[in-house]
Amino acid sequence: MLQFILRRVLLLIPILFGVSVITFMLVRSLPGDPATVAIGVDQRITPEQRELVRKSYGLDQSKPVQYVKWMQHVVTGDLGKSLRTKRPLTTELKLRLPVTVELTLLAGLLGIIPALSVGVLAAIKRNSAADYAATVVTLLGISAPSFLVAILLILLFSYHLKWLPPVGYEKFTVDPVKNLKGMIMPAISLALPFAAVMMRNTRSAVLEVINQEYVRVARAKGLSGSRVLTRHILPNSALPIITIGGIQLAGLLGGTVIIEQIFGLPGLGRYIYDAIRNRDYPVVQGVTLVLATIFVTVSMLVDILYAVVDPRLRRA
Amino acid sequence: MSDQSAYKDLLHEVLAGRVSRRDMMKRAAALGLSASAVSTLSMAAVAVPGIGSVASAQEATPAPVAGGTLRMGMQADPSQFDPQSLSATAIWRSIENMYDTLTRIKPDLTIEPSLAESWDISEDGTVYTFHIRQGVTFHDGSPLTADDVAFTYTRLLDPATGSQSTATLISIKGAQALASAGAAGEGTPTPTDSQAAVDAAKAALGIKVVDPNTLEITLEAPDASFLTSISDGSAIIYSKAFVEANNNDVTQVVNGTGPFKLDEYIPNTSIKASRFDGYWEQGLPYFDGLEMTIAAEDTARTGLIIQGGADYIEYAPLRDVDTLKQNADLKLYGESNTNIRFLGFNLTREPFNKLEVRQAIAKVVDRTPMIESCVFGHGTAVATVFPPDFWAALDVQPEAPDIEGAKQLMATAGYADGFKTTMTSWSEYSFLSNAAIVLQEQLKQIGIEAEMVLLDAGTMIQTVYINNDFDMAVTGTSGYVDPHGVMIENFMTGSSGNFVGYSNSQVDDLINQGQVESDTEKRADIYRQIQQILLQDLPWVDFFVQNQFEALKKNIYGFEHIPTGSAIKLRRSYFAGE
Repeated sequence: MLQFILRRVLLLIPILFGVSVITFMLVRSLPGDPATVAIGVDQRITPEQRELVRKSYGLDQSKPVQYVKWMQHVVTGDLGKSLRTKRPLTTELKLRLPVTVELTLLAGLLGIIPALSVGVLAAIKRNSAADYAATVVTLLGISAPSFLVAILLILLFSYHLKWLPPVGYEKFTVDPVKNLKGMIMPAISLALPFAAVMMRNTRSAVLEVINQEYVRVARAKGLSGSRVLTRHILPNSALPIITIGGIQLAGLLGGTVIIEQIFGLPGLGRYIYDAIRNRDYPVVQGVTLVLATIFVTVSMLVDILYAVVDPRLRRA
Repeated sequence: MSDQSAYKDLLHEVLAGRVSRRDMMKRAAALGLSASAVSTLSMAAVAVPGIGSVASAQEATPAPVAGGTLRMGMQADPSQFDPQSLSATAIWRSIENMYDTLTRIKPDLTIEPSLAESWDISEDGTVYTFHIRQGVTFHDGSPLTADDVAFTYTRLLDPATGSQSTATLISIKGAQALASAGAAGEGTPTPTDSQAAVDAAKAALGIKVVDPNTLEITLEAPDASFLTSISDGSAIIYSKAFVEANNNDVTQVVNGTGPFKLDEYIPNTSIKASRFDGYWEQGLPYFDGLEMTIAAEDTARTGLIIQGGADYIEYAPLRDVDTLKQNADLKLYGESNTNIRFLGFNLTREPFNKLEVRQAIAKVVDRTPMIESCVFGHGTAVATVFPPDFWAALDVQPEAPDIEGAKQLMATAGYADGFKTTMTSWSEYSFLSNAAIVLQEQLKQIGIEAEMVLLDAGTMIQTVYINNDFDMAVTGTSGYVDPHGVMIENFMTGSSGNFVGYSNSQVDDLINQGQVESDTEKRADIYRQIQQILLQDLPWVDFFVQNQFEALKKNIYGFEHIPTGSAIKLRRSYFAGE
């Protein structure tokens, strides 16, 4: 077992090395560079001066040298500084990671509760008016992209009702009420499409189980409807719901990019979006590496967990 | 032409924003229009930006009252606070009331003294002696001296700063040498060699501290735009001691001489600043502080001021300007700006090297639908690079489309059946790409099939501006104050903004003359000559000037719009009454 774990951990090294090389090359394969974007189109500048701006960003060195220099810092835990803002990545991550995590979790929470209850209800009352109503609503939810929902929410709650500010972020630890006021609209924008998908999945997962023989047996032996639901139907339909829920929740992280932009949240999605746009190489590389590390570590832990549960997997 | 159709034409032109209010009245009188027809015209004129000013901006002004925090909705995140290290409008917008420059821009685009109390210019126009204002202190309490100015200007040009805005001070003697010192090309200089080159260039720079309150700047040649150049955001005056104490990194800290000092900045979110009691303009500022919320999305910025989360928003979204105007709690300032949206031809490529082809395309262009789709009607159609009310503008109106004439020109050029080509524009800016899409349709009338290429900023700049790999490009420039900058940057042979590859020695000569000439009327004449030549050569087809507005709560007074988008007048603004 110990050997298995060790092997999985060692495997991380080549994976992360690969990720670092690929992001390094990819971000440099985009046309233009940080100097190009910074100089823009309204600055009169000679080719020599353009070269000096590139030099000030360290881009005059060859790519292998740039890569090695970057790696030398990364292995000591220093992710470097943004070329544009000159702020260290670690400072930015401390500010931004909690914002994106809070937004994702809040959206997940807001989405999952109605999704599960409506999904189960729609399955039990299949082909009823309630089921059709739920289907129509979820279809709308699936078809409406989250940015559209975001704009509609702003129009309703900021323009007309004037209840909520369209932008404005405060740390939860500083002012929880203001934090939630700023987070609620973005969270709902993300939660709606998520809830719609989850509701459909819940409905079909429950429907699948409802027609199984063991459910009919349970009914036949005289168990009450609610007991059949809680003891037989829900536990057996939970697995596909959780699997898809996990994937969908990860998808929410991607959706934060545009939502953070609209609501002016200082999250990670917005950070990397701006960095790609501005060709801010160290930021794109650093953030990608951090996200990749989180991702592979989590999958490694899951692998190990599977192996704990199922001894056959340890030989893999 | 019957009077009826003459009236309709006039109304049409008014709605398109092509006629000034005065011209409209003159022509209405000539037509002998009835009072009701004239009032319809006037109403149309009010509805159209570019004619008259926004009525609500003129009101009785109550006496200034100190106090209150101004909550501002900002269009973009500054990301950092050193405009010498990064050229970004958003930086300047966020710190323009925290720093000062030697001179500053007035709403009419002329300059006034700021940190320089006065200046003398030598007979030959090359030596500027600045008298630095006495009694000015930085936020940390240290006094401003000529040393700080000399240090700041040298820092902008120093290659170690890697500034993108060296053009601001490039007419100073030795500036070009310093800004290029140590660049690759003269062999491969070792670090010590290039440092020596930089030191030598610094020593030779035409900036001399005469005494703590006198600074002498020598120019390479006379430059009529110099006093305007130094009002640019990249020429804000730093405290030498402070910058050195921060190891030359003032990206996260602010220590200026302006009326507000930085308290807190949360990236992408907010900036807080409070009143600086030691500000040099007596009694200013009136506000206790500024609280800026970054609301990049147009809907969010409008929502912020409607919902009440802001008292002021910059760059009021053009889509919402009419709604905001009707809001009883708000007033709008502005409309004029110095940007220009245009089509550039790649003059080095077939078939755009043929004048007839360019003339044909210019004849097809109909600006009205462009202004509608790009800026929701809030634009002023122009035939030349300057808006009609600019002092150096050539008095010429855009012509109505002439498809038959265009077809004849195409036939003369040998393209009677048209041709296939590409049109490149910015994917992120609908105020440019929509013009390209409208033009794509218009070009079909003379058989030109233009395939649309929409690129993100980095790719666009690299492809069009650096590699010059394009056929036609719909793009824009922004933010000039003096005509010299636009001219030299875009039309001088070999200049960095001259991506179309335009070269006309007569224009080059005139640009140089315009820089040296000190008499404003003569200068205006030179720039009008250049515009005349540009209209003949047609390296660009100019489309429109995009209007720009600020929206304020009704109870804010003392604000004035400046066509560069600068909100420097907030230091004179105050809350009063209800």
